[in-house]
Amino acid sequence: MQTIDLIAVAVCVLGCGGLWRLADHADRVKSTKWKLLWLLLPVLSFVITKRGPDISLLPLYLGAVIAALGFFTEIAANRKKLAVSGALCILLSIPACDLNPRYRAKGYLKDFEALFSCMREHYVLTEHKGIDWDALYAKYQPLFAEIDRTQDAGQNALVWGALTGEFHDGHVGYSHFKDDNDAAAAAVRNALGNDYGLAVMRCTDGSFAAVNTDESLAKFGIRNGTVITKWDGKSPDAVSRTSPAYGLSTFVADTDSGEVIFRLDSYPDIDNEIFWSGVLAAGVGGESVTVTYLDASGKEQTAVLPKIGEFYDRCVQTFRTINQGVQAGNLQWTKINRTTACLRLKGMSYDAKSYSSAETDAFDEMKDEIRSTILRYQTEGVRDVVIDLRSNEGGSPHMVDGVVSMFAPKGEHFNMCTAVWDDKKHSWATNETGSYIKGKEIAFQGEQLLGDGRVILLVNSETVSAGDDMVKIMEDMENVTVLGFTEPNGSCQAVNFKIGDFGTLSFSSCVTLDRDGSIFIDSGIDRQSTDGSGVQIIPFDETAIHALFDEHQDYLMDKALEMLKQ
Amino acid sequence: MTDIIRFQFRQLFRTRIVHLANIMMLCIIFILLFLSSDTSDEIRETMTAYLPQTISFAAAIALMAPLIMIGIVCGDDFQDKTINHELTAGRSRAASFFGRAIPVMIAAPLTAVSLTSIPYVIYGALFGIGDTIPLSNIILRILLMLFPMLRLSAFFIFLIFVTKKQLAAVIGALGTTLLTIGLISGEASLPFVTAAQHFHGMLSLTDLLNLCKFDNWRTYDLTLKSFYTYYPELPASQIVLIIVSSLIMTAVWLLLGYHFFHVDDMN
Repeated sequence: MQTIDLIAVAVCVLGCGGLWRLADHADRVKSTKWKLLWLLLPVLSFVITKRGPDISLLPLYLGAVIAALGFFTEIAANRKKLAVSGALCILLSIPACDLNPRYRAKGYLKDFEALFSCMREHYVLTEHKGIDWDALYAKYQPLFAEIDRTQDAGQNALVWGALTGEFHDGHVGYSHFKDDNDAAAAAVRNALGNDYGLAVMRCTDGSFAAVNTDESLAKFGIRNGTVITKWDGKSPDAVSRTSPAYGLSTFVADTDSGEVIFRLDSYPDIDNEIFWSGVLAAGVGGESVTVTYLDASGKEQTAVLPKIGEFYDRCVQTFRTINQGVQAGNLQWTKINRTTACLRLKGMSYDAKSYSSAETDAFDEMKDEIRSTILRYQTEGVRDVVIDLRSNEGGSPHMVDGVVSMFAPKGEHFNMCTAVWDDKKHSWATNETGSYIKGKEIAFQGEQLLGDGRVILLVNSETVSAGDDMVKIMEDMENVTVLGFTEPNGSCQAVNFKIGDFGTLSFSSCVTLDRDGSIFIDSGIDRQSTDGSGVQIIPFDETAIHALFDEHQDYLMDKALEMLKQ
Repeated sequence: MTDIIRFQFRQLFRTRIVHLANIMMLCIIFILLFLSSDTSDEIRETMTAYLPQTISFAAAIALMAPLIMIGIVCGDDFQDKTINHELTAGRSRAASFFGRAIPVMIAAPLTAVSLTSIPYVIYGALFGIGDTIPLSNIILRILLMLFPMLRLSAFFIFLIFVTKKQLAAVIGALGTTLLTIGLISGEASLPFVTAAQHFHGMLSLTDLLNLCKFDNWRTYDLTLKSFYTYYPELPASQIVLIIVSSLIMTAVWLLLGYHFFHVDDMN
């Protein structure tokens, strides 16, 4: 029985004791006001239960009502009997709660049904991504029914992660409420498996290499960059697909602050999925795994690696190291060297007022700030700018217009189109072929503040939404180069939320279109998003691995500076 | 008892403060409707598009009407000892209680529902009715509001007969309005709001607000213009629950109020 309910029972039983004692007293003082005390128990029985009524607590409510019947009788002995009967009835709620398996049960299945049906009705990429809602429902409804039976909050987070992962859409995700953070974190830890002292990453040439290795593996000759050919006799990417964490779109949040510590994604763009295709392999195995690798002479060797803990921490560290970027405030400028400055954009929001405005001048203050910074840097000899968009979480497309307008060549530039809303059908209007109808075009004027200077954008697979938008606009500009180990995420429809009882489901619900009326950026059935084609992919190879994991360099930034120097 | 009922009706109709308060509440609701109406597109929304967004605030303000009426009909008669004189003149306590309870139980819910709906009738006449939500659904919801209002009125009657003070009506009016606004704004973290949600069966505020709440889905475009899709249908089970729970709790509050008054010391 939950403590709060136990307190309610205790208070109400004590209340009955009090009423039993007052039964005579009320007669002595001859005041009707005393009678009101008999009404207090039903009130208390409801108010104390913080989580609302529960059928298992029916004896508590009935007992409170029985005791309250003393209000109607003038005979003290009857009041006493009612108080005792009420107390006994209230006490029955303790076994009732303990024996009822559905006591305070969370309605996970009901929550799934509500959120799923909402998304089914309002998700705007159903046709584009070829979503088969019936098949998804048939697959996941039994899983949620089982979770509803077992009341496993951690499994609820994982199954939502798997369901949202099926969409390969960076905007589809489920955020469990704070109460379930611990259970969800434990479930993700468990799903990631065991630590054997290394992580495995796919290199650009298609081989797999050990990264983030533990010193204990040195005795086998396994170090950062060692080629791993097999994991328990199988290819690492095949093993990775067997991980319970594979394909999840989920995250781990700090219980106190709610801040996301670690995110697993199901990537919209297949190229990004391939890049990360081996990363989960290193958690798969039992008490030990047999790893086949190439030694320094290129000869295949085998080592049996024992489990040394949980893979979670090593996995998180691996993602962080590869995704790089530093912890910095949004819109933060740094002078990297004599001729280069860096603008870090962690999200596309400037302030609350501008974020909720679609006026053309909403971001004028931000533009003034950027303009004055660039002009100041120019007086100091700065010529080029690196815009760090790694792990940019998106935000306002109007802010993107504002930032890009500072660097874009002079003249008008197209960003994206709105779609047309059909008031009669209560949905986005479509033409006879089922395509969305183009609405207003969003455009901006370029100022080319850098003159002949160059702009380099740094991206990763977590550069999403308005971050994707910025890459899409800028990647074809002559003065811009986009660098990354991967393309950006590839999700750019606007997002909306449906709040459930135990978490919030987010999904693409507002249509954005390209100039030709096609879906803007988001990948379709072919899993190829339409941004990122201009990204200059930096090879993830032995050099990169050493720089990242041995020398702890900001490898992409170094590459950008190298490129500008040339 | 019929003469007491008749007299109470006459008192309600002839007391200027009641009319003044009702007119003031009507004006407040109407002004609020106009001030909060979105005119950014220079075209006001139609009544059926605007009502779902605002009716809960109109209902919260209109809730004060039953309190004022009950305060005047019941509370005032305790203050000036009218009830004491009635009882010493040989009237039964049942006649005194129900002679007051019945007229306010008829007039208060009707007034509150009228105050809630009249501004929308005027708004619809001025700016059009529209078809965002079927009118039949709106009428059904407004008619159903009579039941929670009835339950609330019974609770206020109980409160006045226990305290015998008009002040209780004033405090009750303010408390109820604040509670309702708290519930509308969704500030469930406030302890009193959490408590109010659990008092659902007793005070009916959540029933009232559920009737004011039209399930909807809101989306937007890149110009941040909002588009609403409403799901206004009320499940039959919810309608039955509102009616049955309201009638039962009305009876309970009246029974408690009468029983207390029946044996109460009138000093």
